[in-house]
Amino acid sequence: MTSVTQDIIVPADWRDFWALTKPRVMSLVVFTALCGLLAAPGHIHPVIAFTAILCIALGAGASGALNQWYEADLDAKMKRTQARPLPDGRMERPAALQFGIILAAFSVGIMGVAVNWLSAIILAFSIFFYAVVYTIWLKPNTPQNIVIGGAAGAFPPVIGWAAVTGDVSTLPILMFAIIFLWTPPHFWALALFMKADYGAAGIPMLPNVAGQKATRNQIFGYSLLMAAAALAPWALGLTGVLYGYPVLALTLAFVALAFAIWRNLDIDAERMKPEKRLFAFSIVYLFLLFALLAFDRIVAV
Amino acid sequence: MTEEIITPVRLDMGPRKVGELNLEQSQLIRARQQSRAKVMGLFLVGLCVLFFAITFVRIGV
Repeated sequence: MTSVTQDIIVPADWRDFWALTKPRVMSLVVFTALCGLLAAPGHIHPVIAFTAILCIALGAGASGALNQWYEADLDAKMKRTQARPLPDGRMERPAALQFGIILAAFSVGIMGVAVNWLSAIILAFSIFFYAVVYTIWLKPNTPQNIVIGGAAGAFPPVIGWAAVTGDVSTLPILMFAIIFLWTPPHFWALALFMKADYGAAGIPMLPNVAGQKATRNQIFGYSLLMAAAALAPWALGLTGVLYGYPVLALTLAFVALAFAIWRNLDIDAERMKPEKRLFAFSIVYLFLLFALLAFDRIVAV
Repeated sequence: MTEEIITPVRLDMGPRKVGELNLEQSQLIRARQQSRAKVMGLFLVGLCVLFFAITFVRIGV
């Protein structure tokens, strides 16, 4: 847990451990998990609900730490990630591994004992899926890495739901599908205008392997599939108009941005405005969609 | 009889050095250790409170 600063060995700062947990990603994970928890039928004591959300946050932090432990060398090659604690030399690699494992064990253990074991098992699987299946296996080996790896980020609302009900039904599966299908347009939009960065690190992202036209086709295709998943809760009568109409408008905006990307032929990252717009909008879109879903379900109850 | 002169022991309560490091480097390390200890302390206190609350909820008090 040390780093070399001004010719002396200095212990890593607590802020470096905090940075290992990828706090911005964690905030989206916590939010979608909370929405899954609020949308679920039934009652959960506020203390147990808080514990469930805390465990999901710690689990997400564990995934982030294990990801950064494994990818320290790759992070050092990319501008976007060079300032992280490991590539910047503010922390030693084993410290990140130990921190990640302890957080993972801690979050799953408390979730199982205090909430229920179904949510603990899904949490454990999502950490394993992100740290091992996505980070170690898929990401360095296939351009479809984020399609399958996106499943890891889609688990939190399912865990939130399972924390309340102790089971998994249609609506949490649809919430899973929405995030799963949202992930490719979101990340491939980023990969298009960060293509050089990913290329420098040797990560086989779709724009680097299949080209920009193929990536734009896939972004548009996945956006249409995501639109269907986003509107399905309304179409199936699982949510009301409070969710339906706003999400219809937001989804049309999402698909319109994806369509603009599909038509864009620019290969210069500086001029990829539709890609940058979709990347920024997709984050707002997911926040609003889940907020509306939770709000609609709370009002209905 | 000779008068015994007792030299008072001086207790230096000021900043102390770590090993071979100079004072500035020692202070840097101590400040880092203190901030980590405070965060860990707060985390552990928070966990104690949480476990206490979970126990009460679980036993239905």
